[in-house]
Amino acid sequence: MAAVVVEVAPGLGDAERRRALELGPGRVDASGPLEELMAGAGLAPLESHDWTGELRDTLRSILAALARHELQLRAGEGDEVYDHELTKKARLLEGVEAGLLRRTLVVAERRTQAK
Amino acid sequence: MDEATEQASSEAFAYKYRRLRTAVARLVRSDTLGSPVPNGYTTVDQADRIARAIVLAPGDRLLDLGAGRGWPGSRIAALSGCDLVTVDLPLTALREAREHMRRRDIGRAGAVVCGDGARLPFRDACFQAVTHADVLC
Repeated sequence: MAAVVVEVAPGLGDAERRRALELGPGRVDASGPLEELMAGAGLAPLESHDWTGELRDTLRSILAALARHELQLRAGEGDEVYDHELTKKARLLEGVEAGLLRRTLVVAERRTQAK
Repeated sequence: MDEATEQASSEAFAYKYRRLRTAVARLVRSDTLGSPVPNGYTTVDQADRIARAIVLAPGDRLLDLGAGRGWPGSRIAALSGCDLVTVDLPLTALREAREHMRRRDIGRAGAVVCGDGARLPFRDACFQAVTHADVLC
């Protein structure tokens, strides 16, 4: 299995964690540390990669593209959709840049039962 | 997730896939993620790295959970030649996934399934690999 999630960064205090939940995707609270969740589901992690820096670059790129195409997007999608996308991406980027959110890839395999 | 939260989440994601379908929205995805297909934040390059990590071959079967428009599963299936089954709830996204896969002849004996990842309609151990990228993001 390969899973990629945006999750709350480890080691945060209560106030930072609350801020991470405010800035992150809607269900970011549903994901604990990804490796632990996968281990709990009977999967043995093989490799793990921190893709937070790449997420930061992607979000910056998306925000720049949203600004570049603002007039066409507002005309085609409507102001509400445009403003929602802009706010969502900007808040996520704020959480990433503040070290509150991270994006992780974990590759795991099913644990085989010992005979 | 309780039933009310699940319903609200499902409706929010259905809304997400009904919008951002204009040519310029597709152009933004192409400019930033490398393809008009992705949902979430997985770029083409990252999908390729996932494909290399899970190593599938023709005849293998991949389950892509919460795949939206079929991403990253359709990219992995295109690279490996594996069969692809994508699962998600929003019908708009699933129709786009099916159209994309049909146009590119991706996934071969695969399927696009409207279903809940917590209650999958498959027997155990019928997939060689599972992917799950930016679900609920």
